[in-house]
Amino acid sequence: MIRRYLSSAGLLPLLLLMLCVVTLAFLWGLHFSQKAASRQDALSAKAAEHLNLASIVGENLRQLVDRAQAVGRVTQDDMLRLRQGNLSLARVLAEDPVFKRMSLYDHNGRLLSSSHADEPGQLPQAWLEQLQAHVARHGFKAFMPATPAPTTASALPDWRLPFVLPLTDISGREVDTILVVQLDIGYLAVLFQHIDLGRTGLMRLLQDDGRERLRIDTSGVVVAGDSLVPSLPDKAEDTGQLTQYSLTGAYQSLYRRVPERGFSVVVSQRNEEILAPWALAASRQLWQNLAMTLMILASLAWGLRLLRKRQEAFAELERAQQVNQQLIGRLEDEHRRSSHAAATDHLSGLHNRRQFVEVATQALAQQRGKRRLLAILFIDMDRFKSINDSLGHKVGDLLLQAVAGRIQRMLDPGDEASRFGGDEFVVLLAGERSEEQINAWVRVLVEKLSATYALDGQEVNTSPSVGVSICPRDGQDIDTLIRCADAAMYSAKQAGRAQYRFFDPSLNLSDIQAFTLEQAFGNALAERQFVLHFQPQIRLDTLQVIGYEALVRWQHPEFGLLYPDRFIGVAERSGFIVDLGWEVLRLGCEELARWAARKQAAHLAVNVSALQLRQADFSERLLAELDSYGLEPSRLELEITETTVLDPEGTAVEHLYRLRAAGMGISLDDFGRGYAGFAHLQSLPLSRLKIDRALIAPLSNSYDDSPIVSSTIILAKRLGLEVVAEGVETREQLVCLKLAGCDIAQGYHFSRPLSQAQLYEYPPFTGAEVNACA
Amino acid sequence: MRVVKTLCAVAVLQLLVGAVQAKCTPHSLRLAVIPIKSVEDMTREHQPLIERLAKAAGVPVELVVSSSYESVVDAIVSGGADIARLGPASYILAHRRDQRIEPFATLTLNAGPYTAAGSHYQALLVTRAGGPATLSALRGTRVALSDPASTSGSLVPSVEFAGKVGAPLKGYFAALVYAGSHDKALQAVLEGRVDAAFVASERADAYLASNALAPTQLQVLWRSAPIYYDPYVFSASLCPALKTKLRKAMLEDPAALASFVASQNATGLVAVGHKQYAGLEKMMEASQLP
Repeated sequence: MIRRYLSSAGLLPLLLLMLCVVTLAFLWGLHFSQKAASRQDALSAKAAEHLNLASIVGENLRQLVDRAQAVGRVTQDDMLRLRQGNLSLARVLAEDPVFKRMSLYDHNGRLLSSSHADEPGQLPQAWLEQLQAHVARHGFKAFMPATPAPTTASALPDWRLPFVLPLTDISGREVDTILVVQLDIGYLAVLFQHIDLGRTGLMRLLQDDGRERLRIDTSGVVVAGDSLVPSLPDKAEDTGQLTQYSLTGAYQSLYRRVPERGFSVVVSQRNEEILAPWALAASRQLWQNLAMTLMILASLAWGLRLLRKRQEAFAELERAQQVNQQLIGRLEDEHRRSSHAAATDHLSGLHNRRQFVEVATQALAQQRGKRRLLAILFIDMDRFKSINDSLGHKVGDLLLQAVAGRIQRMLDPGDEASRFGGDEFVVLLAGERSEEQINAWVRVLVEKLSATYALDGQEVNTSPSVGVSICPRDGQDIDTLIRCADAAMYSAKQAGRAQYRFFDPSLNLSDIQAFTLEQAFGNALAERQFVLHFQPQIRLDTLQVIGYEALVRWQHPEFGLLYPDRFIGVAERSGFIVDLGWEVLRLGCEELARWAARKQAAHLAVNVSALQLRQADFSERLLAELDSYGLEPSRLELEITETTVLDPEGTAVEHLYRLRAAGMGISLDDFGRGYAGFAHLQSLPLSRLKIDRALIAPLSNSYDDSPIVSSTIILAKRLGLEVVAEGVETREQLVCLKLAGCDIAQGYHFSRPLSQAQLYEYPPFTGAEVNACA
Repeated sequence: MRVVKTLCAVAVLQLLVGAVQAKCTPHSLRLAVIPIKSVEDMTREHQPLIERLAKAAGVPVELVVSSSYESVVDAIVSGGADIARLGPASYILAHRRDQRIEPFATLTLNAGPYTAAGSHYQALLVTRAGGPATLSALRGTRVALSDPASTSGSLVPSVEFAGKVGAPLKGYFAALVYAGSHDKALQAVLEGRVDAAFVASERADAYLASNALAPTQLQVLWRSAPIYYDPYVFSASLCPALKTKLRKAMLEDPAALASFVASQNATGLVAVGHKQYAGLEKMMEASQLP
C-alpha cells in the first residue's frame, strides 16, 4: 500500500512539472505569436492610413495643377496680351492662397508674360529638356520640374514650388506655350497642419529623381531634417511601402507616385511611434505573463514542496513501519522462544502437556484428512515412586531423562512425545501405520524402556505400563484419545508390569473416571475438597431429632459434588481410605465444636472403615482429636460395618471397647445385609444397631414382610441395643417401624441429608421447631 | 476650386485695371497682412481698421490674409495689394524690389514679460521650462521658425544668432521647422514637438496672455538686438491723395482704432519711415540675405 503510494508520489511531481512546462510554453508561445501578429497589425493599420493620406495628397496636388493647366489652356491668349507685370493678374494671385506666381513662356522658354516682374526671362534649359521627355512619355501633362540640389547653403529656403504646364496649340499636337505656376509652400503647410501625423510623422514631396522638395510634419515645413535612406524603389509601382532609416531610427514609409506629374508623395512615421501603443500593450501583456509565470512557478514550488513533505511523511511512516516490523519480529521471536520454553518440559526436553495437546490437535486434523490412523500412547513407569524414594530425586530425574531419550530415539518424523508430569509420558504416532505396525512399535517401546538403565553409576530396572488408543476407532478428539489411552494404561497396570493394552471400548468410562478420581484424591485431601452433609435421626416416640449422621461428599472442582459411592471404592483401592477416614473425623470434630458453641446437644454419627479401625493408634488418636476440640466422646458415635467384625487380630474390637468405655456411641451399620450373624453382636461393644435400608424398603408393600424387621428389633432390644432404621421414606414404613418398637429412624421421610448451610436453617436444629415430622 | 474661380476672373478683371491705376478713386482697396495669427482671428481683429480705412478712402477695403510672408511681399510689390502689414524684414525685401514701397505707420507695443513698451521688439530663442537651458545644449536639436520671410522668426536669427554661434542655423540645429507663424512655433515648442523656437518677443507675450500661460513656462536663451516693429506700408501704385487720407485715418484719431490697437497688444499707432528700418536693412545687406 505504502509502496504503491510512494511510486505514485514519485510520478505526481513529474506530472505537475510537465503540466507547468506545458502551460508556460503555451502561455509564452501565445504571447510571442500574438505579439508578432499585433505588431504586424499595428504597422499594417498605420500603413493603410498613410497610404491613403499619400494618395489623397498626391491626388489633391495633381488636381490643383491640372486645373491650373486647364484654365491656363483657356486663357493663354489673354495671358499673352497681359504681358509682364500685369497688375490685375497680380491682384488675383495676391488673393489666391495656392498660387503665388504665374508666368507664360513660349515653347523655346522665353518669357511671354508674368504676374511678377522679377521672374526670369528664360526657362532653364534643363526644364525644357524635362518637358520634352515628359511630353514624350506622358503627353501634354503638367509636371513638377526636377531641380538640382542647391549648391550653396542658402540661408533661407525657397518658399515656392514651381510646376510646368505645357499648353498646346489649336491642333493639340505641339507645345505652343509653357505656363509656369508657383505654389505657395505656406499654403501646403497650412493645409496639412491639422493632419495628425504623429510626433515623428512626415510627409514629403519628392521630385522624379527622388530628391526631396518639401517636408512637412505636424509642426510645419521642415528644412534640413535627417535624410531618409534608402530612396524609393525604381519605377516599380505607383504605390508601395518600404522601411527607411534616418539617424534616429527606422521609419515606415508609404509612397504614392504620380509619375505623369513628376512627383511622389511619401508619408513616413517612426516604427517606434507607430508601435508605441502596441509596445505598451505588449509590455503590459509581458508583465501579466511574467506575473502569471511567477504565480505558476510559485504554485509549482508550493505543490512540489507539499508533495515532498507528504513523501517525507510517508517515508517517515514507512520507516516507522519498518521499525515496528522489526519490533514485531523481535517480539515474535521472543514469543516463540518463550512459548517454546513454556511449551517444553525442561527436564526431558519433550513437549509439555499444553504444547502436546496443541501439536496433537494439528496432527490429528492432518491424519484424519489423509485418512490415516493416529495412535496415542499413555506411558507410566512402574515403581517410579519407590525408585524416587529409595534412590533419590536425582536418580529419578535422570531416569526420566533417560526414558525421554529412549522414547525420542524411536520417533519417526511426524511423531511427537511429551511428558505430562511425574512419570507419565504421552506419545503420538502419526505417519502411515497400520494397527499391526502400531502394535509392533509399542511392543518394541516396552522392550526398550524395560531395558536396564545405568544412572549415575547405578543400575536401575523399571518397566513401563502403556495404554494405547487409536483414532478414529477410540475417539475423534485428542482429549478423548488421551483419556482412553490413560484408561488402557490403567488396565495395563492392573495386568502387571511391562504390559501394554489397547483401549477396549468395553472398558467402563466410569473406571476411567474412578482412575481419574484416584489420581486426584491426594490433592483433594490436601486441598480439603471433602465436606460433610448431615441426615437427621429421629427418636420415634418423641419425634425429636437426637442426632445426625455425617455423610461425606467430595466437592470436586471438575465433576461437582460427588457421592461416596463414586469415590469410596477408589479410596479403598488406592489406600486413601484411611486418610479419608481421618479427614471425615476431623470434619466431624470441627462441626461438633461449632455445635457446642451453638449449645446443640445432638450427637454426630460418623462412618469408620474397617481399614481405619485396624490402625494401631486409632483410639488414642481419635480421643486426642476430640480432646483437642474440647469435645465429650459421647457426642460422637462411630458407625462401623460388619466387615470390622471379621478383623482377625482383634485390634479393631479393642479400639471399639476403649472408645465405648470412653462414652462414645458405637453403632453397627447396614445390619441385615451382610453375613454378620447375631453371634458377633455380643462380642462387640455396640450401643445401636442400624437396620439396612434393604430391609426397610419392603415395609410399605406388605404388612407380612415385617417379621424379619420386627424380630430383629426384638432381638436387638434383648441385647440392650437401640435400633435405628435407615432409609425411611414413607409414612407406612414409619408406622410399621413404630409398631415394631423401633427407637430411631432416618430417611427422606424426615429429611434428605443437609449441607452445612441447610442444616443451620433446619428448624429442629435451630430449635425453632420441636417436632421433626411436622 | 478657388484657383479655378480666380483664374477665370482674370479675363473679366483685365479690362478694368488701366482705369484704376490712372485715377485716385479705385473701386476698392486691398489690405494684405502677414499670417501672424489664424485667418479668423486676423479677420476679426482687423475689422475696425478695415472699416475706418474704407470710410476714409470712400471705397470698400478688402482684407487678404496670406499663407506666407513672401506672398504679402509679392502682393505689395506686384500691386496685388494696396496696403500691407509687413514684418520689418519682409518690408526690407519688398522695399528692395520696389523703392516706392513706403512705410507709414506702426504700433507702439504694450509692455509684456518679454517686450519693453514702445515700438521695438526682439527675436527670442525660447525653450520649454525644463527643456534645454543653454545654447550649447540646443546644438543638434529641432528648432521652430515662423516663415522664411519672418524677421524675428527667421531672418534675424539666421543672421544675428548664426553670427553669435558661428554657424548657420541649418548646421547648428538638426532640423529647421517652419511652423508658418509665431503662434504655431510657440505651440510646437510648448507641446514638445520641437526643442526650441525663434519667435518675436511681442508674439510670445501675446501668446502667453491669450492662452493664460505663465511666463515661467518658457525660458529665453537668446535675444536679438531690438527691432523696430511691423510697418504698415503703401504700395507704389497708390496715389498720394489716398495715402494722405489713409495715413490720417490710421494715425490721427487713436480713440477710433482703440479696439484694434488693443487687439494687437499695443497702445497706439505711430508714424514710421524707412529710416527706422535702415539698421535692419544694413544688417541684411551685410549678410547678403535675399
